[in-house]
Amino acid sequence: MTIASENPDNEMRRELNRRLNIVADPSYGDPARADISGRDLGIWFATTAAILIVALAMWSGGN
Amino acid sequence: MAAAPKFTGASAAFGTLPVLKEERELGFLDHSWINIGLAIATWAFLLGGSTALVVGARDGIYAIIIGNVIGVSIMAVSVCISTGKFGIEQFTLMRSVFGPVGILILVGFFLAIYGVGWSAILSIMFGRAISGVMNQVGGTQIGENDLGVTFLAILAITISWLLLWKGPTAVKWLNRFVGPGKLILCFGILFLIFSHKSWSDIANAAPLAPFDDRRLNFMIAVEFNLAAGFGWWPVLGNISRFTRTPRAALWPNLIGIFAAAVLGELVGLFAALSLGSHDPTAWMIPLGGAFVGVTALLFVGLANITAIVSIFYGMCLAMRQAGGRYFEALPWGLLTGALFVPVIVIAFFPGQIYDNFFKFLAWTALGFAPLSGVTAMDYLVLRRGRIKQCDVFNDGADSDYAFWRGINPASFLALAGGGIVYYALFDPQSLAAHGPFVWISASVPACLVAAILHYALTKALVMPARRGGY
Repeated sequence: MTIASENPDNEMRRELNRRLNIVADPSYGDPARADISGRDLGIWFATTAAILIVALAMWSGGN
Repeated sequence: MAAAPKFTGASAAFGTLPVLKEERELGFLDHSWINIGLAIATWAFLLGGSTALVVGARDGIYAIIIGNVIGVSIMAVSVCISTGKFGIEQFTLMRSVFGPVGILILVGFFLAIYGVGWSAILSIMFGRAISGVMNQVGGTQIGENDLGVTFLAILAITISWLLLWKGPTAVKWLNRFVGPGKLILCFGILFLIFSHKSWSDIANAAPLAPFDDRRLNFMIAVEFNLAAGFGWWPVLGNISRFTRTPRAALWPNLIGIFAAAVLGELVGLFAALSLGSHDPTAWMIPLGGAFVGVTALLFVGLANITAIVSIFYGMCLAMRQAGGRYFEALPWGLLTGALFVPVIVIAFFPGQIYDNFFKFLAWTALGFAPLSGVTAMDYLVLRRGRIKQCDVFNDGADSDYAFWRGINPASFLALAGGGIVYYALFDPQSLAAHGPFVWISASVPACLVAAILHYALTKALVMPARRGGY
């Protein structure tokens, strides 16, 4: 079951179009499609930076 | 009126199309468990063993944590947020960064090297594990680089190809006990190590093959682990596309990939230092005795088969996706079989490939660190999270992502710039370090330079030419 590009109408293309139409509908609600907030990204980098800083501090403290 | 778009991005199965809400099966915990299963694998033992080549236990622990946390934090942001949001297969979505022809070049060249290299290493590891079993049980005397290891590696490749060709679902079934088995193996090795040695024995054990400069050794160990972190780039996007929320797409990478990889690598580090070998297949019998050792080696062999199939399944799917109409007509068995041919050739050189695993790792970082920088900059900063989904499936010149003849030169120039910076700081072949490598590593500056170059070139060339849909 492939979407042969030479064939303008096949099952895969119809399914792709159906899905693209669904997600393009402004009333379509999918929580995964929300943008990640700046706050979430900030917490992500703050957490990973904290792990990094603690590891660096412990390593340099032992040298 | 514009011509009807030629949709070619999807192929092979409906599973490659944009996922809908009801198909998003992964919550926070499910995604974490999948990532844990991926990260705790035999390659984690290899990475820990490679770290033990240059540093002891104490420096090794910090190098593993530092390298992985930097690599995973950037890599996850660069692929998991976008694929999680749009639910589109990773390499189809990346057409917005590299163009449809550009992604074909990237997948066909770079990803093929990555997949072939990893599969060769894992198949040779299978060969060494099973030859260890045969030596112990059958009384054979197969050396670690003998032709017998090559033949067993080819056996692993053949089994993997048959599984991949006839039924990847069999691997799903195998993974049901291989996954938990890997956790048991991990804790089993830790238990056996600490029942033979004290912590001070391990902490005082010398690295296996260090350079003279301690600071250089530490940064090389960090670099190996940065490579491990960035090396998840081609794998994770196609898992996070099934997550239910942005948080479920991002955070399990820290809990699953980072934490679990650190655990697996620490087991490898301690075992390598305790037993004086970086090769996991040489640990099992000395640690566990004949019965436990043979059982563990058989399990390592099985785990490697499932890992090879997983790598190749993702790679072949990506090739079909990226190849669009060029690869669609190619039978699945032929495509997968053709990609296994170079793996078979490489298997004839077990010593050169397997024992130089860390060099392969450094070479992959030369590619994946800049890739992570470019894709993060493109999606988060230049596009602010906006992608025209219809156009990523459109091969026509009317697509926003057609760029110039299907290639975005800005992203490729940025990749090249990052790669040059990496090579200037650290030669992956000789492990020779230059300039400020001992302070800043090679992957981090390569990632940053590639990201900045992509931003500057896009602003200066692509946007004024009204290409790329920015």
